[in-house]
Amino acid sequence: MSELTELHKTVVTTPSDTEIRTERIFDATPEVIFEFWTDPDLLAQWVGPERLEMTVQEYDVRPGGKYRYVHKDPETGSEYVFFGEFLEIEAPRKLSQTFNFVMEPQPPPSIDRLELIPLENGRTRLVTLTTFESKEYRDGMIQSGMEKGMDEGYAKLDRLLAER
Amino acid sequence: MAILDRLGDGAASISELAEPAGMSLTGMKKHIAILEEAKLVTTEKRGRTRWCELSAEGFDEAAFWLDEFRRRQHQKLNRLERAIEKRKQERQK
Repeated sequence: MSELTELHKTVVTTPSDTEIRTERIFDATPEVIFEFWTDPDLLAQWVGPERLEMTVQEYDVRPGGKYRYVHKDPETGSEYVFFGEFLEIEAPRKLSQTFNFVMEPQPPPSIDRLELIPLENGRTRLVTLTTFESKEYRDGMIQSGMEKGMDEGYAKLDRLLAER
Repeated sequence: MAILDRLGDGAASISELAEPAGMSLTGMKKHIAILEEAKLVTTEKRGRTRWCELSAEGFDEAAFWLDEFRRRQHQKLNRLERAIEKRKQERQK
C-alpha cells in the first residue's frame, strides 16, 4: 500500500468507511518530527492556520495526559477549541491520542494514530490514521471546518507562491 | 461495498443484488434504503421490479469533502515541513 517515495506530496486515502489515512515523506528523522508533535512551543508553529492565534492551554504528553489548544481569529474573535487525551506514546515512533473539536452537539472523539517510519538518508515516512465512530461522524467532522478552512488555505497558498 | 461494485456495471433489481450476496430480499431492501438515503443509489419501480442504480450526486459530495480534507491535511503537513526546515537553518547558522 505504501508506494509514496517523493517529498512534498501528501497521500490521503480512506482504508474504510470510518477511517482516513495520510502519508507523507519528510526530510527529517523521526526524532525531529516527534519533537515537533510533542513540544507545545514547536506545535504552535505549525498546527492551525497562520492567521489564527494558536494558544496551547494544556499539553501533557503521557498516557492519560490531557491536551487542549485554541485557535483564535484576531479579526472576528471567534475561537476554535480542540482537546483530547494522549493514549499511547512510543517515542519517537508512535503516538496515539483522542481528538475533539468543540461544537454543538459535541460529536464523539476520533482517535488519531501517528506512526513515524525511518527511511534511508535520515528521512521519515509519516503515517496518520484517524478512526471515527461512524461514517457520518467522519464526513461531518470534515465538513465542519470546511468553509472556513478553504478561504484561509487559498490565502496561505497565495502568500507561499509570492515568497518564491 | 459489493452492492456498489455490482451497480458500477449497470442497474440491477433487488433480487439480482440479493442472490449473489446470499441475502434475503428484505435484507437487501434495507441495505438499499440506507444507500438511497446517503444518495449513493437511486431506485425506480418498473412494473413489479424495483431497479437500483448508482447516483452521481452522493458520489460527488463524497469526493468533494475528501478533496477538501486532502487539501487541508496537505497544508498542515506543509506547515510542519516548513517549521522543521526553519529550525534546521537556524541551527546551521
